[in-house]
Amino acid sequence: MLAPGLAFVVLLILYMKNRAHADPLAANHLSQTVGVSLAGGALILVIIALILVLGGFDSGYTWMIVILYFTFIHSSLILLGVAGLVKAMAGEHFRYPLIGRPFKP
Amino acid sequence: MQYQSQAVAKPYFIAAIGLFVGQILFGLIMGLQYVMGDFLFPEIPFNVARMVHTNLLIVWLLFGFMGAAYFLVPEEAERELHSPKLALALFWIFLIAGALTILGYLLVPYAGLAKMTGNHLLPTMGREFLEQPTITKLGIVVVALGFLYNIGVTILAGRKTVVNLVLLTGLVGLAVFFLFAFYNPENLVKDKFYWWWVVHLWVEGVWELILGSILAFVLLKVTGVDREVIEKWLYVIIAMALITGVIGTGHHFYWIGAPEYWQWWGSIFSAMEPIPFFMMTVFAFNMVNRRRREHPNQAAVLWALGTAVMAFLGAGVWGFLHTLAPVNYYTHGTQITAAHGHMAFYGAYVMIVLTIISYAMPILRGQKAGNRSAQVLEMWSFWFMTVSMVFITLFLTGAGILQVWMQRYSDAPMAFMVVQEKIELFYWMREVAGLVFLIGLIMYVWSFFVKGDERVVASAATA
Repeated sequence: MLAPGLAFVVLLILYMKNRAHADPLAANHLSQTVGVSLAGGALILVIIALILVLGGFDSGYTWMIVILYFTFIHSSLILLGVAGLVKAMAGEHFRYPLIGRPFKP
Repeated sequence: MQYQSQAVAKPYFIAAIGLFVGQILFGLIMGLQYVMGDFLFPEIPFNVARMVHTNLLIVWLLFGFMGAAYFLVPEEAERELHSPKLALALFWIFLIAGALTILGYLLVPYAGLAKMTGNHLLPTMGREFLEQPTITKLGIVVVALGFLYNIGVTILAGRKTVVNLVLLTGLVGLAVFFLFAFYNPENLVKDKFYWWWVVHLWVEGVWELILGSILAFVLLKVTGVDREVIEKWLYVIIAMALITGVIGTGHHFYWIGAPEYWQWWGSIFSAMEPIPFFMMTVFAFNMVNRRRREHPNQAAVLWALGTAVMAFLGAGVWGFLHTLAPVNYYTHGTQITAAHGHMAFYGAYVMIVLTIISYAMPILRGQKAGNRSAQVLEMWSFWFMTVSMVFITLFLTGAGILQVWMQRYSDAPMAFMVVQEKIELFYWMREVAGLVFLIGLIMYVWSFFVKGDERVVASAATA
């Protein structure tokens, strides 16, 4: 939330570095998190772009929907991230609901 | 109940719930006054309803914190409370003083109340959230000192754990920072500056220590996870809360006439304030995920997890939304602030008090946990109140964004009351959500009276 771009770059480096030789649990978590970050990021950017194009930049209502949508989706993704982190700390596999990559534990 | 003196917590919890109901009723009255300006006027003017709504919140949370301390401290210190009689005497003093103050707000014009209570001798009245007559404030100090003495002696004479020491530190901080309510300089900048030392350093400082310790205590009990693990988490969480929250006070100094450097200090440190709440969420879910037992009080587990999530959203995310100085330049004092205030107070402090009540009340009534039917109703009340609070926050945020756009950001800004009329729909929707919240609260209160098969819970507890 504080520095999403920076956190994503760190995550990407970890993923590139470890995907080949990480143990299956770590590989799954890295792959899930990178996948969801990309899908979630796209979800945020594409939908916001659509709202702005359809609603126009000069409407207060457009900005209201953009800010509420961004806050809601971003918070939901953070809370899903917490769920994933808790599972990883417990040494358990996790698949993000709806947008997580399928995997075989 | 491990120690008989823990029973003094019960009247505190009952009073807290009673005052909570009062707070919500006045919230609904005020919510309606936003759209029907003369509703209940002149009997209950808007400013009085607002004062009662916010003051009741503070008073019932203090009752909740004190009840929590009286329940938790003997168990942690492994000894009876130093003086249960003192705890009960302070309860009645606080309740009567609180009730008289609220009646004073409702029955006497505020200026008359100030005159009647001798405010001119030591003027402290007339400031938001600190509207109480000076004599009530002195009463609060007496109650706080007696309470700290009772709790402090119990802890110092007994086992010292991280949970009860963090709780004590938070409670001492609460009492110390309240003393700034007596400092009322004529210079408005200084007045506002030190006013925040009470308000901010309570809710974004020492109260977080109280929140953390109560949450840690309940998680310790319901999950059976090792004390060492929970205590380490608590240390890190409160350290982050204080590191970010103390200098984060600067986010209130942006536009009050304080030096400009506060815009940097306030922005940087308060941007980090979500971190302890994020950690609290990870902590709560991690402990429940690693639990060693299935505690029969599932309602308490739900409240504990809910506290962490809602505190993160309300205090963390909604605080971050408008904390950076360039954003706050446009948003301060709008409905965005109200949205943040509602969800943060509910998530962090209302829910933690309801968590400890949910855990302790069955024990205080001689059961390990409430019967299944009571718990189901309580869990429904959790969802009703929590979901309606999410909607209250979303509607107020929507109203706030439009308010900023029309009143602050626009090249041709509209007048305050013109904008208020334009966002009326959001106030109506907030009022409907508030009614759903009240239904949830009624269900919550009702859950204490639901009868069921206590044997089912008892067998689950021994399983």
